[in-house]
Amino acid sequence: MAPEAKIVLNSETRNIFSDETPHSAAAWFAKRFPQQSEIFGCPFVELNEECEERQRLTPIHLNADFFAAVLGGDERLGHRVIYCEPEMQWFFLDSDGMFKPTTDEKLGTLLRGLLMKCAQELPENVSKLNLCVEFRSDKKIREIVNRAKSILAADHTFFAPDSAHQRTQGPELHERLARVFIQQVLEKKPGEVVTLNAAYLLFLEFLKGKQMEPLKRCVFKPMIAPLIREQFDLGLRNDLLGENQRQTSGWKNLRAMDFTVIQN
Amino acid sequence: MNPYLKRLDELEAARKAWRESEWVLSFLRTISSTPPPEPTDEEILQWHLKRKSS
Repeated sequence: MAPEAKIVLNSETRNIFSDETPHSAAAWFAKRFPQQSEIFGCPFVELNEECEERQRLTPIHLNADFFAAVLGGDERLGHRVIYCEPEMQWFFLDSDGMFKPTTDEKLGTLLRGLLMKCAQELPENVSKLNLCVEFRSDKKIREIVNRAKSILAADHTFFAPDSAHQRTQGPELHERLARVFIQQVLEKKPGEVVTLNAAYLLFLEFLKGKQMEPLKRCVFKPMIAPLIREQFDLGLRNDLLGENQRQTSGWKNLRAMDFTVIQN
Repeated sequence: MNPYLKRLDELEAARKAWRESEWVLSFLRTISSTPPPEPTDEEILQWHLKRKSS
């Protein structure tokens, strides 16, 4: 008797919370990534062949959009991956709550790992060849990672200094710390003066205490001046007298608190 | 259900989810000289509860 064959889109899972092994590759991924499956559709087109009451399932085509979205991570596990478009850089949310950089290659390897895990866990009536070879090829994986760059794209506001998202490296880190520095180290005090040079040296010490790289003075000045204005309504003046009685820049009616006490 | 057995069940589910999470993250991390510390049972349970409630 000739086998009866039909093309199926079957990502239905009996219960996504059950421990039951899914019956097809599409169901395996849909169970693991239900949100992505709901938005981007069935993970695979599968060929369902039935012969003498035996069923054989072969995934024959992969839904690249679904797999690109899968790279965004499983929210139930607290995972998140984004592509920061302005910097052309991937970031993933690590278990310490910080976003850390990662690469195209690492994301590709994760996809390969997921496809292999799926192949290993599925029952014998599912053909594993495409899962292990075709869908894990460099060409296919590259296509999915590139597709993910648009699906998981984040703009410059994602890591803005006032955003809840934090990362281990990035230009906004200094501004975040500068805000903390202003709150903890500076206070408004009539008659007192903080020179730009003194503020800069204190900020370098502050960064050192946080095990951060030092910041160039030319970057510090345009960053700190608007923040101090915002916090204390004090503008940077260029007519102050420094310790050697030479004209210098700084803030009048501002005081720097004892830094060593704060550090400890 | 015996509270002790219930806790064991919860802990097993939490450990399974934690291992799953670490398996994925291990693909994305760079190799560090200081690997993340192994969490205690309490930390894993708290992590799991936080995930379930979010």
